[in-house]
Amino acid sequence: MARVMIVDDAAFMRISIRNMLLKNGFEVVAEAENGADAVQKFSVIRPDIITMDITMPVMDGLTALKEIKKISSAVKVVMVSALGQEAMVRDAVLSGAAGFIVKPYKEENIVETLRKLG
Amino acid sequence: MNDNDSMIEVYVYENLQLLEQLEEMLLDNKKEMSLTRQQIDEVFRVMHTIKGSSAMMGYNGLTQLSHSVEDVFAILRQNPDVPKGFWQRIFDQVLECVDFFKGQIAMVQEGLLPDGDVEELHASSAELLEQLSSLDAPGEPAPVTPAPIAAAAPAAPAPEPPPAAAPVPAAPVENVTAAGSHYYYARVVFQQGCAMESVRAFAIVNALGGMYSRIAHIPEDLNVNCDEAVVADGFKIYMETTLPEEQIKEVLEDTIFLQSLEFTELADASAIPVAMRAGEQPLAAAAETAEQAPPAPESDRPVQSSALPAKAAPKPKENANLQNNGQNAKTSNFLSVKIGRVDKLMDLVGEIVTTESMVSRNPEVAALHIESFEKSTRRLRQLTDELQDVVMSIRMVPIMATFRKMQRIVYDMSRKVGKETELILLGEQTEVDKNVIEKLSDPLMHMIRNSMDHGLESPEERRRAGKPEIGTITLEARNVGSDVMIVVSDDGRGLDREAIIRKATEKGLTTKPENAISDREAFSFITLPGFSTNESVTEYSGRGVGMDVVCTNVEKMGGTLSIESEKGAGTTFTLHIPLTLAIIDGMEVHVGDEHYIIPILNIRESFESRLYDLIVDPNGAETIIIRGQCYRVLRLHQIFGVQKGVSDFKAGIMVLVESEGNSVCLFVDKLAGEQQVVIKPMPAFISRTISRRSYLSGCSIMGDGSISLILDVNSLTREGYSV
Repeated sequence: MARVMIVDDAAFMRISIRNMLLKNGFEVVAEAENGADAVQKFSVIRPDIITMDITMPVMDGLTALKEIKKISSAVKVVMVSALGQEAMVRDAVLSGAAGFIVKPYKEENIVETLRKLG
Repeated sequence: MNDNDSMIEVYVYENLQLLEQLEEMLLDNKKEMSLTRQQIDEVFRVMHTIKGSSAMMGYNGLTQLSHSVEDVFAILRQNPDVPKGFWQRIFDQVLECVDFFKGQIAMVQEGLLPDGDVEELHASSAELLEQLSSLDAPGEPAPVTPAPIAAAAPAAPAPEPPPAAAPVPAAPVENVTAAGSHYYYARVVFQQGCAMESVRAFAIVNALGGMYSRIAHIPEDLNVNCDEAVVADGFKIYMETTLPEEQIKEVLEDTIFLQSLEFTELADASAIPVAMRAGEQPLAAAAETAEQAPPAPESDRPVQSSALPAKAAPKPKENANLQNNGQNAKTSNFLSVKIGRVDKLMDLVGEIVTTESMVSRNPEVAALHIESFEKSTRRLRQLTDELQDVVMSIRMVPIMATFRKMQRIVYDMSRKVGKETELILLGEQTEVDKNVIEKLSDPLMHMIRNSMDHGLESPEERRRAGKPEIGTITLEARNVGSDVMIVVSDDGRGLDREAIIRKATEKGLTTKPENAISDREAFSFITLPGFSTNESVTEYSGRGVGMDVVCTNVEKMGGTLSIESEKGAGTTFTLHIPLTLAIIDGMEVHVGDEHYIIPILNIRESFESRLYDLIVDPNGAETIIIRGQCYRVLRLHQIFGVQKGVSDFKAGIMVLVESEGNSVCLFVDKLAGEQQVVIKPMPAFISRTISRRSYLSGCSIMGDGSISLILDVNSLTREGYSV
């Protein structure tokens, strides 16, 4: 199963995604609290898939996506967005995001998205 | 604990913490009455986080409200230069929402559904949003405006071409029309509820980038929200390409949340209902580019060689440290522990102390007089004492958070009552037991409200009295022995001694002439139930319930309240509260073979009973008269059914105890001495076997391992009066 890194500044979202992924056989190899943290952890841990929140302190998810894509074009980044963030998701798609889910999502939504990519 | 319970716990904990931070930040900025760009971002993020997690929990009201506040801050991010008066409204709105969120989250914590009515707050957010937008007329609320898709998608201006577009074969294939092109029609239907369908359609066009020479789709403009149209009719794509069907289909089939795909080849372009636009690069060129600059495969790029990102990475990290210094320090140095665990630890330590005494004072071992054993037990005792102190200290928390709440009350009230007020906080770092802190909040709130409402004069009155227009309230905490002293003082008009005494006389609370009443006595009248000299009842105080509630709460904690005041100069309320409710100073008394603890705070005096005459009324109730006052006598051996207790009145000891203004005399065998005791809840087996357990507030393990029962003086004095 794919190795996943979860990036979100909210512990609630990280735990919720982690629970959903672990239940479905994914391996969660890292968690990051903001974009900068994610870029740093990515270059060391090299997960296959990243779930990336957009609104985060220090470095937002869009910037982190672009930075990570510079390091590796192969990594699949799934943006975790919310209604109202359409413009940012379009930007993310243009910057190489492999997919996106919209809060509030159901377990099957995130699982299907990641299965399709991994 | 199941998944959902633990998620609720994280939800409550995280969001409450965010709200606290938010409130603190706003109150810290109330003087400037504006926020910096960074702080605006912060509020935005907090609201965004609350929105996200509330949406995941299915709390629609909270999601809706946080979304509306988030929108306000999305605009402020674009244009933070709004007039001061507007900031005031924004502050008020956010603070009101913070209160609302806190209330709702408290409901979540109690296992209820947060179904509070958000309509009003939501409407005022919407109004703010509308007015902000008109302030900022040319501004565009959407934070990121992407390039129109027609130009962007085929060119794929992203740093790396998206993976789906990468493998483009250079060689043309069979079945080519005269122009070398095929026309395809595809209709994509997304799964229900996958959300942002128009952006998903946008992503498909992006994935097809470089695979067509001309394209058209319905809906045509994917940069605006057209989710409903896509849901209703599906996303229709028409393309002209030299690539074979399979390749196009493959990309379309990779679509996430694909419900169904229709795919047909069209004879020519005549069947296409909308105008087609050209891909910026012809297919061949796209293929060439792909060949010339293939994206380096992941495996070919060892970690070390990614010099640029590796160097770039620490930069934002440094930034993070700069920006988040305070927060980092908070998270790394503190550990939040459930209070239940600390209580458990405390219990265990209590057990260890007891067991230690039982071992070291074991009479059989003691008879052996082994010096080395005594030496080690002494050391053991030292360590257990230290352990007990450390555990007690874990429960101690700074009073800061409670004081901060008062900032908020002053902020809210100062405008509503029209008195600008400065609240000065001193000694916020003073540590107090967690339980005490929780019970302290209400009394402090009442006192601050009282000071603002009655104590401080209106600005005009202050000017006339030659005082600065801005009133000052000082809130100070300090450790005094084993108590914490809390002082609330204002520089207002002071208490009106004459008016208080007049009112007290009217209400029949005193019969003394005015000159026979000390200041202290006069001021203490305001702590009596139902006493209020204020003619008008305001929203905040004047109902005569404030100060007596304060007094009762303080007494319940085993504390005292005293009032000093000088007419025209201000009033000072001083609270003395024990640092912890888990340890009390107690007097150990013996009744037969039983040991009881009477809290020292409740003891007025003790004396030998032979000094007084016992008066027995026809009902058998016993009383004695001390200095002209009649007191009911309660014999502990009778109350608790102790067989061997001293029954001869002349041979015992009397302890006069008082609680909530009621006094009784307790008759005991002897006083054994004063000591500090750790209060433990009554074990169930004792509750079952002792009939009059309502007179006991807990028990304690003594130094020798024996158990003492702690008397609940309040219920005893009430008993004394009801009989």
